[in-house]
Amino acid sequence: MNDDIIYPHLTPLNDRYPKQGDLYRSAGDLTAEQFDLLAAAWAENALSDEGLAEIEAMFAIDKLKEIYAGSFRQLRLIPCDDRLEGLNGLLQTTPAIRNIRRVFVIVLASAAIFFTLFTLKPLVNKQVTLTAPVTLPEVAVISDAVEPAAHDISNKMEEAVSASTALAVKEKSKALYPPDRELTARISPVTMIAAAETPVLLSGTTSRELRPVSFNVITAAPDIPDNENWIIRGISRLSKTPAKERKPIDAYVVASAFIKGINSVLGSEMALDKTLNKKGELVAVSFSSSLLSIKAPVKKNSPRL
Amino acid sequence: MTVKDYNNAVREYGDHVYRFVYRSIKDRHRAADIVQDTYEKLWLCVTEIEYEAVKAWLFTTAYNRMIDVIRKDSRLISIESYDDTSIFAAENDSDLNEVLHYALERLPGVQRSVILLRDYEGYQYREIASITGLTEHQVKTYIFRGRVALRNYLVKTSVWQ
Repeated sequence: MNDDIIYPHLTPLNDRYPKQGDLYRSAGDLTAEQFDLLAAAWAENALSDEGLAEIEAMFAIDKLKEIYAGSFRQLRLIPCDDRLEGLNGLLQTTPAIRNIRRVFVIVLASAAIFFTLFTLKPLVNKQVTLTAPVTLPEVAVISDAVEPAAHDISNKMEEAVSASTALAVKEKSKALYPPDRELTARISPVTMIAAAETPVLLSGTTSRELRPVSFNVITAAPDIPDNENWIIRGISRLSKTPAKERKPIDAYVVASAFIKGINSVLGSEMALDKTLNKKGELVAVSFSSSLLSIKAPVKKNSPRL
Repeated sequence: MTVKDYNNAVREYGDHVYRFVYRSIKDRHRAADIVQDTYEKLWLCVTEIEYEAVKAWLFTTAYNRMIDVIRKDSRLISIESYDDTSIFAAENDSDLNEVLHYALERLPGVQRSVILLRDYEGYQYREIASITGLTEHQVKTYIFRGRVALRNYLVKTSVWQ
């Protein structure tokens, strides 16, 4: 026995392909589709050295193929002018620019508000002046004319009515507004307008029974001190309500409110106290906190806190 | 990348990305949406991306987003759904670039995208492979086949003899 029996194995026979040359291909054997792909690669300069040598060999045989392959170089897309609308909407702003824009907008808005207020201020004052004395007394005249039409009233009657009306208005004005109240400016338009009133004639009464209708009392616009804030003055004039009595600002109250605010926000325990003498005058102000305690006397000639 | 770099990327590449997407899907609104989504994603990770790599990142993200849209949208016109009348309508068009774009719309999506990246943006095969997730060899094959298809279309429509 030998090893071949124990481990048998195949030995290649001497079989050979009958015509090995039939498997070989030349560049001229490429199909049209294959050549197209090769030409496209050549036009892209994407062929390896070996591939380049082969296709150049083909070009050498057939010049038309080189022209054909060259046409692939013209197949290049040129970008069109396609633009994205709203491209700027994709832009982001830096925090600094955003803050600057905010400040700019606030300043602009404030300027606009102040400009509006300053522009409207004279108009508001004028309106207040004009609207105050417009409440005029109503004057009615009663006559005995049967027909209320104006045709039956003679010139004499009209004169009498006007004269009597004016007289009645003057008397009433004197009674309501004595000269010592200096209301001449407010009374005079009343007199003028009353004289121009058209008499209303009611049937069944005689012209001698002419009597004036009671006057509406004109209330003067509330006096606003000139040193009041002009915004408050304007608002109070517009609303026709008297402004609140102005009180001097107490710095102590402001300071203690400020400290209370800080205490509520930060949770600290700061306090501001004032010391008064027997007369109730401020003698000293003391500030106390967990870290610091100060007591400062108040000078007599110093401005009131 | 800073906010300034981001804004530069918007100004510099916004139209490029839009053009690529629009020519790929031929839908202005969807293209605008895809570009917007792409820049939103960029903004979310703006600090993590270097400005030098942002162009490729934008094209990659836009391409992936576009593929998602194409997959979801069954109404997107594919090459098979074009009728012959539209092809004949372009026969008399003498502007080669316009005809090429017309022919481009008839290519399969991947071929269209790689050719657009190659011609519009001048990317190398390796870069296109990186953007599209294909191998370099696949990219070459798609491009060569796409060129052959474009040429055949031109010959078929008698633009080229």
